[in-house]
Amino acid sequence: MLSVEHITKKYKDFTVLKDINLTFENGVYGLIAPNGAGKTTLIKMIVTLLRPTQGIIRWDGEDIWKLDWKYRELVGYLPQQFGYYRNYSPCAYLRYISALKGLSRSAAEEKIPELLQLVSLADAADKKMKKFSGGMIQRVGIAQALLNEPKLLILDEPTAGLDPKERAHFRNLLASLSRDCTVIISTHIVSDVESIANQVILLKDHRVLHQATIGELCAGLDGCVYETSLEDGRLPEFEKKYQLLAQRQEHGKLAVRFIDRAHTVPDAVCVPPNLEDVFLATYEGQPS
Amino acid sequence: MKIIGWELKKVFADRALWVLIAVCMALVIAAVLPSDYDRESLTGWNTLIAQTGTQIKPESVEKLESIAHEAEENLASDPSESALRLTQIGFVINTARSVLETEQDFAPDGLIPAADNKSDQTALEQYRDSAIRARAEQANESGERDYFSLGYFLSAREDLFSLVFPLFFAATILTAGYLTARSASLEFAEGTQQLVYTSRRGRALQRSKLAACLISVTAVYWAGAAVLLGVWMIACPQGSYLALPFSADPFAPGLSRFPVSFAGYMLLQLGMGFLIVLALSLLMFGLTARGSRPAIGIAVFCAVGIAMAAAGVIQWPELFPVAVNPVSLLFSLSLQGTININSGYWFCYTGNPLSLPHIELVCVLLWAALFALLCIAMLRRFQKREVS
Repeated sequence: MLSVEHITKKYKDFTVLKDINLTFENGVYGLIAPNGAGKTTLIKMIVTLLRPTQGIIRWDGEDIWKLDWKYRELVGYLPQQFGYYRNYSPCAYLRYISALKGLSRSAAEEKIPELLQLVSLADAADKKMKKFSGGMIQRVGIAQALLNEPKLLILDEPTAGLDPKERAHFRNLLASLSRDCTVIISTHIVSDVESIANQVILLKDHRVLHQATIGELCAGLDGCVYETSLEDGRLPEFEKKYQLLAQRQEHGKLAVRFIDRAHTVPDAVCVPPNLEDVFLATYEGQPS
Repeated sequence: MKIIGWELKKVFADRALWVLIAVCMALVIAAVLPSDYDRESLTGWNTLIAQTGTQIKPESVEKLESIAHEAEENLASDPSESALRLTQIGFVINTARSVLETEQDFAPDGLIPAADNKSDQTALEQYRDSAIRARAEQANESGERDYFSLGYFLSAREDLFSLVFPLFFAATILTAGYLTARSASLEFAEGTQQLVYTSRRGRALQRSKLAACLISVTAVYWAGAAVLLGVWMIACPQGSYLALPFSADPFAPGLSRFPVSFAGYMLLQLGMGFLIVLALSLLMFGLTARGSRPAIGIAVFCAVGIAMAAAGVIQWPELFPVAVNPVSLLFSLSLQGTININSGYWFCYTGNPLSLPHIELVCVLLWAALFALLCIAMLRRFQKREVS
């Protein structure tokens, strides 16, 4: 179990995170917040890249900095900006990361082809990574995070560059792993966590706003999300009164999804809220 | 592959390193090639010394006169070679008579600088004469006046020790500095630090880098030395002279007896230079081990190097512990008295009469130990530092 206790992180006069308290057990956790909210800082503290200004992070009750390599050997991490050695092939790269992760040569030789198959890179195993697309690089990054069969898997924007099929495949993979592992996904793509997350953490104003299941979060907007159609030209006026969640052209009219807590639009249809609705409602007015 | 193997692979996969090595070696080899190598004259000297031996005693003069007589007989048949031999033999005979029969002992040219006025010049000459008499008395007591030494002329000897080796040492320090700084900061340069330093062995990676750097420096240094000496021997063939005893220059017949061959002395000097390069590599690694900003470490390294050189040049007694440091030893090694060798020191005279024998080696080892402690301290700090 990972516990984050009273974590604060300051840089000179600027406080990035204030008094963060979180608990993680086996399962998938989505960490959602707009840019600059402190997601990556929190993740970096969890993977021991940064030290908190105050507070402590524990794994099974022990301080992770005191555990040192014993903690790190349990962690699989995919950073948001993923550096790699351009002249290495995925195979060579994963061998190197295996050596860093303390895997034996035989274990690495067994694991690497398996992982390359899993991320659909078996055919490109010996090609230099400098010729790879962004999505292919990202898949190598996912593979390296899984090398040591981590107990704590932390992924920062893991589906960037992946096409919808690859994203679906990746979601299924995470769901299967989460039985024996704690998975924390930091993402802007709400749909990546909506179908698999056991809990979602929302950060706002450098603090934890909510740590709850998707159902609990959505319950807060129950009966408040509506859909209706608008005539052309009515949109600007409509936006002034209601928070718009989505819009699309449909049969010559504009179909809109919006929040109306007082049900003031007579012909609007009430729809079940989803996680994206919660996100947009929570961070209304904040930079994307 | 073990992590050291991976780190070595990363070091030598850097194309810029190979370009640097190639440029440095080209410059050093370019210094070797135009060396003044008058083969005929040098062969003549070495043939003469092979006949007389390296120790010229009073009884050697008779043998020299007999060799001169033979050369005179061959003058008609081979005038240029015979004339050269006669010149050389004449010089040795005159030197023998001067040194062994009088108290006069040649001081090396340039020892007494010219004075601005006549009275100062007179005072300087009187000082020199008293110094010569003192040396002669000392030599008489020790029995060293029984002979003077002739050195085998090994081509480009002065160039080798006063130009080529200094360039080679400078080149290897530059190369070692580059590969050390580059290796320490590679993960930050490539953007892989967030992955590498969150792994099980990631924080200990810098230890492997240190080992890889030292292995790389060793390989580059000795491979470079082998190439350098190979080129030198091709450009200036030495034959069997390399195995002969190394002793003082005949133009300054010193009284030293240094029990090593020329080849042995060359290897000793290269070995000493290697220890100095290793010590400076440890310093560079310690200063750049934090990794993210190697430019600061390089700047501090240059500043420390200049301060060491200054301390060595100034040579105040109070600065003695600092004056004898790897950088000032490197300058002494390369530019100073490798021709005049003082017994008790292997390579250079450090300027302090209380110096211990073989002080250069002791000092380099002590400074290397100090820089190794710096590395250890930086590595321990790296275990707990933030990586952004």
